[in-house]
Amino acid sequence: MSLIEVKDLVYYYGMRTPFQVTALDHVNLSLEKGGIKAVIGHTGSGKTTLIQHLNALLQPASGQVLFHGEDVNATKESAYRIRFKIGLCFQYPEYQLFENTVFEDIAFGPKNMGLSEAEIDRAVRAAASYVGISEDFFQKSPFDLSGGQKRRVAVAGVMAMDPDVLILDEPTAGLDPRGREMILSMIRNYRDQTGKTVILVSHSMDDVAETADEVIVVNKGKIAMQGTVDDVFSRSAELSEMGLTVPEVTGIIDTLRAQGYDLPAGIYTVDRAADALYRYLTGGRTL
Amino acid sequence: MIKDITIGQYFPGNSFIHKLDARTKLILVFAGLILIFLCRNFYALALMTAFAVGSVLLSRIPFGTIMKGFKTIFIIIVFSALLQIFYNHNGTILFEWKKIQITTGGVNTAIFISVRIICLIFISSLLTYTTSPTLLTDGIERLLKPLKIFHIEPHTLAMMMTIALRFIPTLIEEVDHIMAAQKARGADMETGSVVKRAKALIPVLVPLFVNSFRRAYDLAYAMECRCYRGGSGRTRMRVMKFTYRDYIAFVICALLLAGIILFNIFFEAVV
Repeated sequence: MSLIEVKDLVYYYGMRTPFQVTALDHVNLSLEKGGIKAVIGHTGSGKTTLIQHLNALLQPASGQVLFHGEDVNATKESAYRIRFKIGLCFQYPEYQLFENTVFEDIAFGPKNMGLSEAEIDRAVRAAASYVGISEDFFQKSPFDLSGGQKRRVAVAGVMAMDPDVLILDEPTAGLDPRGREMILSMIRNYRDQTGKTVILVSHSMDDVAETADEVIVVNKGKIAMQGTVDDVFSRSAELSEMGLTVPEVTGIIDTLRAQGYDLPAGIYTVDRAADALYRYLTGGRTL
Repeated sequence: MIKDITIGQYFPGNSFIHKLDARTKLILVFAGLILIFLCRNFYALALMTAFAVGSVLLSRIPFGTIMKGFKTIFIIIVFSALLQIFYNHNGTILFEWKKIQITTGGVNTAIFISVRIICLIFISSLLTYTTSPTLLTDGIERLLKPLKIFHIEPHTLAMMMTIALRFIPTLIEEVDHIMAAQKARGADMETGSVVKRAKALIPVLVPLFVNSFRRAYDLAYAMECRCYRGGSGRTRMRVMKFTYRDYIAFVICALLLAGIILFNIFFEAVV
């Protein structure tokens, strides 16, 4: 049995109004436990709508979302409880901070779960360590932090609920390269330390190539592809039809290959590209 | 829930009323509201109601859309009608039981007041339904020009209104977004006592205020970067002009005023 199973999911925006739009069109998807799964798609493809169904924030017009084989929308209670099992962190989460201190803000989720003081304390400390927020920050106001720090505190707020699945919607949007690299390595560390499933929604192909174990491509409210990074990025022609591209570095290597340089295909990260170029220039030695 | 608010909503169209100058509509709606209160008997009110219903028909806005605005006002109508029925003891007695006394005067006034409120809503909602917010504020700015003698800047007032109207949909979207985010962290806004539910709004209101201030700063900087210095010396992109339609509308309303005055003189007053 898969961890998450999406069956024939349909959702409309502006249902029963003249402005009705089909956001999800009979989506079928099954996700196994573990690893980082990247959901990619053009703006308006329905990727954010899809993930909001996974934790029952949106109720489908028809179809089901099963978690461990159970319908998340079965009862009001299950639709509420699922939010602690499948933690969702929205785009620009730093704009949702509201508490007086960083500690209290991270503790908001665990408090809603009804944990004891000691358990809350443990959950907050664990979450803060995953995102690299030291205890010196706990008593500061979240509004006094820098943009990147705020975002990490907000992500910690979701991690603190200790969900089985962590969903991050565009976690690197609007960050500078250093902030971006920090968030991505934080996500990888989280996966390695906890062994939990992470779903990463992104439209940055470079982010996906660097972090994902599995890629799901959403296009016009449907699942267009699902597979490994190599599977998906090797189909660059289909991707560009959907308004998506391969990672920037892949484009460069492909251009070089087209000009007759003997470089291997299937290079999606800068590290691998650097390695391949070094090997080519030095005649076989590795970096 | 929040998306059900229809007051101040614009309903695009191409009718006679849509094409009227915003200034005409502002003046005539104001005049119309006064006319409603000038009506002293059912004949005058019937004339007024005919005018209100006629205007709605002319605007080609579906009655259902206007009725949506009634949902909240309905309580006020029922409340004021009941008040009249039970506390107005004029005329002959229709029904009596212990201390409760219902008279013809009470029933008449209750009907009269209900129809009056309905007319008020018809006429006032037509203004925002048929005029886009930008045209409306332009119209207000022009009409308030005489205030300049009192050193009140109508342009500034109009700009503030434009900005406020412009950000209503943005803020609604933002509320939805923040609510979803806090729900994802287990915030429960639908169950519990009134106090608990009010407290549950804090996680939504704090970020909303913080973000609004941020937006206000951004907007102020953006306006300054484009050398905005208030109204003096600015020319307009849309120059407002009265057309034959506006003169027709004014004449119709003048006739309505004459009709109401005549009915008031020739028939007995109800209220």
